[in-house]
Amino acid sequence: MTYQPSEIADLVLALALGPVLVIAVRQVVPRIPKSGALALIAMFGGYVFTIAEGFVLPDLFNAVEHACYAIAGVLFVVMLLQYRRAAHDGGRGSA
Amino acid sequence: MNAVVVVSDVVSTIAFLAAAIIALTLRFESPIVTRSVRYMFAAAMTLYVFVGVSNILEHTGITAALDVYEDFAEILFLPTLAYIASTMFQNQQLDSQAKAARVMQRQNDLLLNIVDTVPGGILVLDPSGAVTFANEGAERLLSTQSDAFGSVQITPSWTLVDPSDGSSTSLGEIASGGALVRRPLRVKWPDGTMLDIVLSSTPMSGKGGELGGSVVAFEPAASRQ
Repeated sequence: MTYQPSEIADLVLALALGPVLVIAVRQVVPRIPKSGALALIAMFGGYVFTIAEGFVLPDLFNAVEHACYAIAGVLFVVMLLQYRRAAHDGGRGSA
Repeated sequence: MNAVVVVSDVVSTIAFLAAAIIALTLRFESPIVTRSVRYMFAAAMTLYVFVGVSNILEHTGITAALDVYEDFAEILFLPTLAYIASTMFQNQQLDSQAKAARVMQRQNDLLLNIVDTVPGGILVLDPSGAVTFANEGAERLLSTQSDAFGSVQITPSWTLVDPSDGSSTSLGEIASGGALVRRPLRVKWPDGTMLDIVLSSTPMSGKGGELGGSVVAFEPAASRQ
């Protein structure tokens, strides 16, 4: 049963700042882009799995944690590309 | 399983790096997504580039030296995103205020233009009878003056006289009744110059329904020496 204090801090920050982040972004963009929302969920999943790996199925959850970060990175790229396309098309964008 | 981790880290590193580069190279600027917002977003993405590189080095067995710094990068990520969201929200508020101020300025300019285009005089009196606004016609006909702050001072050299009985009156006295008034008056200057005017005073409602002042409009009826 091993986990690092920083991993707990990451999860606590995610739980504390996640709603703030969503509320603040929703004030600016009524419809949060799916890619951005999924990216944040993937990051949150990574924070959960990095703690879970200290308790059960360490290899599997470690792999899932890193996969979550990879998925989040790809989704951030998708979000930015969508924003760039929307901005290029004359819209305000949605990032 | 370690291969999955390394592949994930490589994909993660490349993706976050690409996101940082896209954020930095976006040409589109808006009042909300400003350059500083884009730069902060790129900085947040770069944090996870560092995490990815650290993980690759660790899981390929090269070195775990960066692992201790990796935690700091991970912890900074979400607060940075929250700060970006907060900045975007503040930018939106500032943009809305600036737009509202521009609309109000345009409306104000239009109303002033209309009021100044009217050939007659228009005065706004506060409940105490002090003149708080005079259009160009009033300034020309009654020699009113505005100071640098827009306050209006009536040059006290002239007096208002009721032409029917010769009794003196004042703008404050006329407006203090709180009722619609329309009457002929005579403006007398000390040098004997007189100007007959037709004046109407309309009360304005203030907060709570009490008298909030009056709008006084007048036009010359005839001028004589």
